[in-house]
Amino acid sequence: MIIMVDQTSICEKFMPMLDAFYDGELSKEDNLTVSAHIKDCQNCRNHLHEVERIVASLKGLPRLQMPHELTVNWQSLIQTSTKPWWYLKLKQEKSSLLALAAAVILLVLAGSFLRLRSFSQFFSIADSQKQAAQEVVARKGDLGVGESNQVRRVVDQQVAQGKRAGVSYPNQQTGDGELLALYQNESKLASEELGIATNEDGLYALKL
Amino acid sequence: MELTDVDIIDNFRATGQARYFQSLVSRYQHRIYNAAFRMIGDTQEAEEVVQETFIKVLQNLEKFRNQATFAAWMFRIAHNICIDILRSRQRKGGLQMMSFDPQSTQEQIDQAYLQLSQVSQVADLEPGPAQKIEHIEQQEMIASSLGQLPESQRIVLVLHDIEGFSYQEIAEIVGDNVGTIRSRLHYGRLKMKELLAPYFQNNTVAAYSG
Repeated sequence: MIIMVDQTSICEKFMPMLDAFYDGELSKEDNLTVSAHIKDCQNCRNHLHEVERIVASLKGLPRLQMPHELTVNWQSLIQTSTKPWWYLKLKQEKSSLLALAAAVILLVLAGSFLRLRSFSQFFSIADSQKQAAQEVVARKGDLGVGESNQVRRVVDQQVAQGKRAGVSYPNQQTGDGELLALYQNESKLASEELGIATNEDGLYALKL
Repeated sequence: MELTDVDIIDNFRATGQARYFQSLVSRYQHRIYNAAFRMIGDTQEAEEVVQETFIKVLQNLEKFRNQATFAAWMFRIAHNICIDILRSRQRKGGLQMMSFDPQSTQEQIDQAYLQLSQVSQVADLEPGPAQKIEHIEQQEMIASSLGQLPESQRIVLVLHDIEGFSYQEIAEIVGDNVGTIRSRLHYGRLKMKELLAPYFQNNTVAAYSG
């Protein structure tokens, strides 16, 4: 059996590749395929010759020179239309700029964290003071009878627990003195636990 | 040793001195002018393209990040300006007949004829007036054929066959993929072959440097 191969259709397949072949822009594999084909194909060799002629004719066109020099004052244009040279330089050194930005972000985050931490401590101290004040008020009978007795029971329990644990309470003979001593002691313990020291004026100092 | 484009740009960025930018202008102004003229076919507009290109290069130099060669990056700007001019022409009143031959060719031909009448027919290594006439006519024919190509094919032929950019660089300049560039180049050359066929049948395009 004889298989008839249509040479024209083969060439049509290769034709669009011949320009890239001539320009050296084909992949290694395609280059080998086209090389093998043109070895036996006069039609494609003719086309390559035409490509060569067209390219030579275009390359042969005269290189035109600007008839007039540009009259732009570049110095003044640089000053008015571009960003300062130090900005360009900084922008060019992208890595330094990124490092700087990262450092600023870290500083801001660290600052925010510290501020949040001192706020939360402030509020916890304020809560314990408020509770103690309520107890003092209750002790003085400003609360209702039921509430006052309830607070009193809680305070007595805490005093008893403290005594069992070896905590001494000065002025515990008098009712109000006992409660104040308890409050002062508890407040001091809570502050120490949080790393807060108070001076005699009642000012807080935070240990970091 | 001559500084590379990147060296010049680095120096300009570091110092802001106009002389560095001026050296880029000196290096590329004629090349851009030549390409712009071959694309749009008008000397005055080609000069405007050069000026506008360098102003835009100056304004956008901070955006150049060596992702392409500086020449390709700058030609992209010039190409976009040329496209704007071509679009503007189409809006104003359809296609204009552009000569695509910048030098007053008729004057050159006249000059060559004058030489032909004056010079005796002595064998000479230099091309004679007759050859010069033939050469000038040949260039006029080629420039005219190039001007008749569809805009997209003409631009690719100018950038590749005249300016020597690679397919990849042209793809970056015109904003298309390499396959499209390859196709435009192929069909552009086929069209050139068709337009120049009558001329090629009678003459050979000789390498001529006169």
